[in-house]
Amino acid sequence: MTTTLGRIMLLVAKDLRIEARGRQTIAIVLVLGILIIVVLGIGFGSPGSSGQPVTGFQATAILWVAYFFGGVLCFEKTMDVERRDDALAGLLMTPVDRGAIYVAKLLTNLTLIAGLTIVITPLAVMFFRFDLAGHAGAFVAILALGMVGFAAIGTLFAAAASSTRLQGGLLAMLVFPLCLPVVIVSTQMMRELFLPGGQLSMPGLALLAGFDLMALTVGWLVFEQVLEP
Amino acid sequence: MNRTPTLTGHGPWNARWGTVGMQRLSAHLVRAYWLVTAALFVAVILMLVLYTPVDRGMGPVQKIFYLHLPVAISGFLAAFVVFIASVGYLWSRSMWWDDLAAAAGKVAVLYCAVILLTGMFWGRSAWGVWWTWSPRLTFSLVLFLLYAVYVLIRPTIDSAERRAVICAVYGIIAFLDVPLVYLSVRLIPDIHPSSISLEPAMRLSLLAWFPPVVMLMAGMIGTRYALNRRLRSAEAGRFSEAPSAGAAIRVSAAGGHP
Amino acid sequence: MTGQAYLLLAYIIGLSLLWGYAAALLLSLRAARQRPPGAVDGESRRQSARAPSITQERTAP
Repeated sequence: MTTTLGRIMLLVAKDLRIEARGRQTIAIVLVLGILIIVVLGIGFGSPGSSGQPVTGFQATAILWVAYFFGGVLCFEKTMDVERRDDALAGLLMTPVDRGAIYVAKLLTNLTLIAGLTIVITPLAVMFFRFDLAGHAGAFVAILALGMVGFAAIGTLFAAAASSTRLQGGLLAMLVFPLCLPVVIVSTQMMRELFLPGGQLSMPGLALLAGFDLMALTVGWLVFEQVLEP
Repeated sequence: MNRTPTLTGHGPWNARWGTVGMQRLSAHLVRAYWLVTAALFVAVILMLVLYTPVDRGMGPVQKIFYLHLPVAISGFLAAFVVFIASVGYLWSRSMWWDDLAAAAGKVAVLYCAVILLTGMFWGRSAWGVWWTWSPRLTFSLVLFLLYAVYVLIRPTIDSAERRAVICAVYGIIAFLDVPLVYLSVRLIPDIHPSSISLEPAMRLSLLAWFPPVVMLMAGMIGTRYALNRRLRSAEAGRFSEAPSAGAAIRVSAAGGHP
Repeated sequence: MTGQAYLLLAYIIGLSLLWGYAAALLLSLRAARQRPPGAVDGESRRQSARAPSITQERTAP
């Protein structure tokens, strides 16, 4: 068990080191996220005299669009690293369980998505004047649980699609419908949260956790079949 | 687990109906099946017009329900067939499972479209709007999108092997998503009454609509599957010599397909 | 529009979608079965393999 964990950490460290040296993925992903926020900001316009232009409920929708598109690009790029110089063939030859490779890629993606959210969220809060401060902890919990499931699905399909021409928008098309439960649950939870006297919905959290569990289990089980050099 | 990829991997159907006599018999059976399905449809439509009582509260538009619910259940069944065929493909790696999954996926999309359309007509008549984000409408929309993407993605993957693998994984996750979507839409506030009380005559009409709608679904999947098998073997024949029927029987006996 | 009209429209559209697709499938399966033998099914392929083709006859001495 400890050796598996060690191997996973080794693989994550390798991916992050590549990323730290090139800074290619995070730069592209961040710019895309910022662009999406800006486009939506222009669309929603300035608030005028009424003050707050966007409610907390709409805030999730805006943020989720930015996270999802940034995330899909991120999954694609981190898999793309393995395509170059047949790195994947080398990785598959190492005596490492394929499930461990999956978890390592997933952790890399989650790290990069965390980086994306840390930049995008304050920017969106500034642009749209959300009042996230009252429920910051609940927001982080919803976000973290949602992103684990999203990244679990995304990592799996990025690996499956990397040897096909199923890239760009088409990968997003595969991942988005499967992640719709995450969108429905998290937007509804945010809506409840921002009602007067709203609280974190426990059934919602359980559903997000259930989705994560399903995505991680399927990912772990079928990753071996999906990965081909 | 048999991981040998077989390009043409004949299903048990093709192997068993090898002789000309059997083929003729199966053709008769298929024709009888479709005639019975069509006759049942005529019967239930007549029943709907002549026998089924009009709902006192909602008026005639309540009768949409007799088509709506059986179609919804059949749509789930088609989605379940996609799931089973996807698992079967990943397990055995024989292509006929993929053909079955593709066939069921298309039928699932069609049925979901009918669920959505009939639901929208009901909504327009009962509540005055074509669309609201009510839990059940959202649920059927998500279901439709899930399988529409399944069908649309298939032709964009060139390699038959990769297409089968990716679509099988998608088919499995999509079906596991269904209960999650169902539970998550219940977080959406529902303004519409949830339970509909049915008189005995109405319940009988509803039950009567199930056999024809389910039979039509199964018949469509079967026909689409037969068509997919033909296209696959035609494609294989263009590039290489396909295995003979005898070899196919041996393969399917050894492979132990269910 | 009245409830009756919506009911009628829903059934017409729903049933014609379902049966339209079924009919299209059955027709294309029949067309596939009636296609000239050769590449379509195993039975005819084996027959054409046994019979000498035109090109083979031409090249034969």
